[in-house]
Amino acid sequence: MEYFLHSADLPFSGIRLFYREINVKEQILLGKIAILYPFGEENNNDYITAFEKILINCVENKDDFYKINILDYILFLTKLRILSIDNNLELEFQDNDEKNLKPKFTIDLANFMKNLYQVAIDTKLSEEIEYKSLKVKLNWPSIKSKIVLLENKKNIIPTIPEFIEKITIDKDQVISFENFESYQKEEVYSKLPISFKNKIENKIFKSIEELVNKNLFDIKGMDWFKFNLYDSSYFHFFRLMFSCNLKQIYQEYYLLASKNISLSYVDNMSIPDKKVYCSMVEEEFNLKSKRNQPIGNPSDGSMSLSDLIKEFEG
Amino acid sequence: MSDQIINFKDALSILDNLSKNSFAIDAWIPSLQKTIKIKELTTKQQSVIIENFFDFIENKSTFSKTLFDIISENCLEDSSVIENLTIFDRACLAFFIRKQLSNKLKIEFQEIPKIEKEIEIDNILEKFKSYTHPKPETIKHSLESVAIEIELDVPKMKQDPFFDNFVYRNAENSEDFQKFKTVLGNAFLAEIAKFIKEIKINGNLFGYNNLYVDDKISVIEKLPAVLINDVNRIITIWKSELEKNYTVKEENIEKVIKIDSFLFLIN
Repeated sequence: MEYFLHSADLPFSGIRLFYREINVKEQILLGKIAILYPFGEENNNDYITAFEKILINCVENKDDFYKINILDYILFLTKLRILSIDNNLELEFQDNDEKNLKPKFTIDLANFMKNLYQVAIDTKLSEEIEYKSLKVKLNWPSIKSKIVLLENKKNIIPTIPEFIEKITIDKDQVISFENFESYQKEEVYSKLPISFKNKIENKIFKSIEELVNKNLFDIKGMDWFKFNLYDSSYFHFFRLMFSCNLKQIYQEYYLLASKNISLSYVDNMSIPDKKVYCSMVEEEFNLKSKRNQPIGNPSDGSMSLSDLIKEFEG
Repeated sequence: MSDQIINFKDALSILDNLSKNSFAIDAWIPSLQKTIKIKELTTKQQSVIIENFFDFIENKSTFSKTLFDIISENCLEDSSVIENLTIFDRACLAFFIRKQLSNKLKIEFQEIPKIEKEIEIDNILEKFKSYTHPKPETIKHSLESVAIEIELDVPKMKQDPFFDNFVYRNAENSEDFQKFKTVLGNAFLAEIAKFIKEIKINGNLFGYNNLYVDDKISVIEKLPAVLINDVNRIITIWKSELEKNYTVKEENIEKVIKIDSFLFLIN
């Protein structure tokens, strides 16, 4: 029996998702797909597919998940990461020149969420645009549109209909784009008068520009990182958020198995739970080691996780 | 009142109907001295105009035909109205359609040093409202015992593509320089031929209006040079009056805005 005890009200889609933290097995799988499909255009689609297959398990109302838009998708996954792992994302940039310093950054993910939400609000993208008897409501494209966006990064005009949420005619007739295929959205959009389309396109271009130009991390050294819906930048960000040290996790499995905790039980643990168990084992070993220590030894007797593993192996 | 959700098929038909009724706009027609109802340009039509620029290089089609097709498709008046639109009306309609994309138009007056200015198309359309479209004129000429009368009129838009076809058709398989010479020669003949509405010889109708373009050109080639010069003089005056509507000036440099596919490229 799984419990989805957390909920998130997604501001731009108006959908509430019920979810749980990612478990240890899912953390390992995310780590593995990052190795299996490394950074690179050719791996993007495979990575995205596998990434979603893993994370959809954490959501109770899965159908609703596929209705959310890209900004809510980024906000939700960041919240999931904060809850499951930590609010801070530590990054270290490697330089080919060994003499150069390796800059380290700590990204405050809650602050990143706040900035992303604010810039999206500031664009006023969702304000209705009127033309004679028509009203168009725009919104950030649905996550189902993300492949269309990636395929059209050199010419974004064909992706404009993906930003339309609905068209209202004469105040009460509504053409909802939610369930339309991309070709249907394009066909309906092509029927709009061109001067109205110019207004729509200008608003979308302006909003995309504002999003791309905003430094969402509030870190000067990170201003090169552009959050562009038309490239895979946000997937690179997901890779960084959910990256993990696989060797350390396997060591933790080994340690917990030594205390007769079943591996399938560890699989289903949340990451904070696993940390608690590991720290208990560490404490126990440290206590034992202190007791066995000869009187007069200045060491406090505490051991790191890797030292503990060596102890077992020895 | 709850919203009525429209399915895909109905959405297309509702928007089609709206474009015929609610989205129609009034376009000024100089030859009629009144406005006509016309639908707005669609994205597809805009892209066809721009593609036409590349077709033009290959001499396959011309801008005038594309524009006429679009005007015919979008015009909500009787077919008789469309058939009587002249090539001078087309100039006004081209700016009217261009305004739907944007009212701003950047004009380059000089390349080096660069002199550019952004103008408003509304100002051009306003000038067209006070412009007087030419009325038919007759030129009379006597040569020995033969009296020739030539009636001149501004050609209809629907006829123009046939003359364009004549201009470019014969040049298709020529080398570049030869092609240039052929197009130039044909263009002059076609320009004269299309402005001639009818010819009378000794008071008898020649039936010029019913001839094919190639035959009209053959007739023009036989007319005395002095008569052709007279025809050309009147055409030049008419055109110059028309071009005043879309002639712009910056730092003493005057420029007549070219009405072609480039006009529809938004920068």
